[in-house]
Amino acid sequence: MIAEPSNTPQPATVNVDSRLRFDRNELAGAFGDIGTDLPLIIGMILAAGLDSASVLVMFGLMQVFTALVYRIPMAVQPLKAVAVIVITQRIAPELLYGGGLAIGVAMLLLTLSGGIDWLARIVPRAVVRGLQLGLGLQLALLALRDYVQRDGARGYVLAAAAFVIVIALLGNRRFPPALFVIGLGNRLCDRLQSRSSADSRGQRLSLPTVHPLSLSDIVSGFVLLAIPQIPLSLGNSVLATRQIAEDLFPERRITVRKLGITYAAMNLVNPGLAEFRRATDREVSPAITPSVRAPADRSSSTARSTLQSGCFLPAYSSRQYRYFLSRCSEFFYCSRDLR
Amino acid sequence: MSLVRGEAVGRWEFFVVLTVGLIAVGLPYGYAIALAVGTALYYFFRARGLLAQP
Repeated sequence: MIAEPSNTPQPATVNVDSRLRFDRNELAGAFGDIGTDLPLIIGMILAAGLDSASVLVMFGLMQVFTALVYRIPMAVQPLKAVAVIVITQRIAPELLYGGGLAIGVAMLLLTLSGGIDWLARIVPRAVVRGLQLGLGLQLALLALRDYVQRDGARGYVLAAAAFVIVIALLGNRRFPPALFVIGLGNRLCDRLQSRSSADSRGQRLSLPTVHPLSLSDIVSGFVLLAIPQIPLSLGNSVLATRQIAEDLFPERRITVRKLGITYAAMNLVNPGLAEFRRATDREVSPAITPSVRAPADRSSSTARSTLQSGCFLPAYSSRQYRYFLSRCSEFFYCSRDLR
Repeated sequence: MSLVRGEAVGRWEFFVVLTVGLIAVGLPYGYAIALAVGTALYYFFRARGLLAQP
């Protein structure tokens, strides 16, 4: 929640050009959202049985898409209200995809009808902040209820250590706290599971495949997932994003209409490219339905999103994914030494 | 919390933020209800002159 865009007055706007830029700041910025994205994505993959490779490939492609369209650090994130429901209730992947599609349709209708412009005018900023507060509380409760207690005393110690790291490095651009927290969890995971059976599935790279959705999936997804998510997305992904983009990149003239179209397009495309395995192997598909949000890191530019995608495109099975995370940690330490 | 702090300049704005947040967490379909209730609450306070700015 710390990385959410802020509407507080900024000292200066950032001068950006339309070229893609790759430097150390961009590299650091590329990891900025990992602390928010990874827990939700992995949680959804495990809870709904999604295909991790397919999810991550689509996630990476969406990052590239927003980077090329907006040419500012426009993050793509999992839909958080949906993620909370999916993780806590272990929703079936079909329903998740149906919900994603319903959200895309609803947002498209809102945008094309002008409803989103009307909402942008009447919904006050205090309400947007309240929705974000609610989301933060909900995710914190989810962590405390479902995850921290699971490992007993060790879980509490890990949570406390992560909390201290986040507070100590809050707002630190050189050493983003999320990376340390992920590295800590990754190390612990490796220590706890190093003697367990090896992952027999091995390394693989799978491309998304077209997956038909039934009308009942879409309707059920709308009731169960879209209705809780859309108000949050209006506040968090559209109105707050427009505000932060206006504060930091005023020359870009990013409108709620454009954000709404992008949001709808991504949610219309992703559920159709869903792949999942049935109940025999609950490790399924890409019901990751991204939302658009401008990051709080004011200095990074388009390359951030692109680099983020570059990290996610080589999507492997879970064992390789942990390896990938550990490589990220090591790379971060190397980049720190370069400064 | 840093986001919420930005709204803490006025007591009634902060009240709206907290109310919306608690409704969002506590009720089924909380985000939808919170959006409607929070917006109504905000304009109610503004009509009564309790808010400093629109």
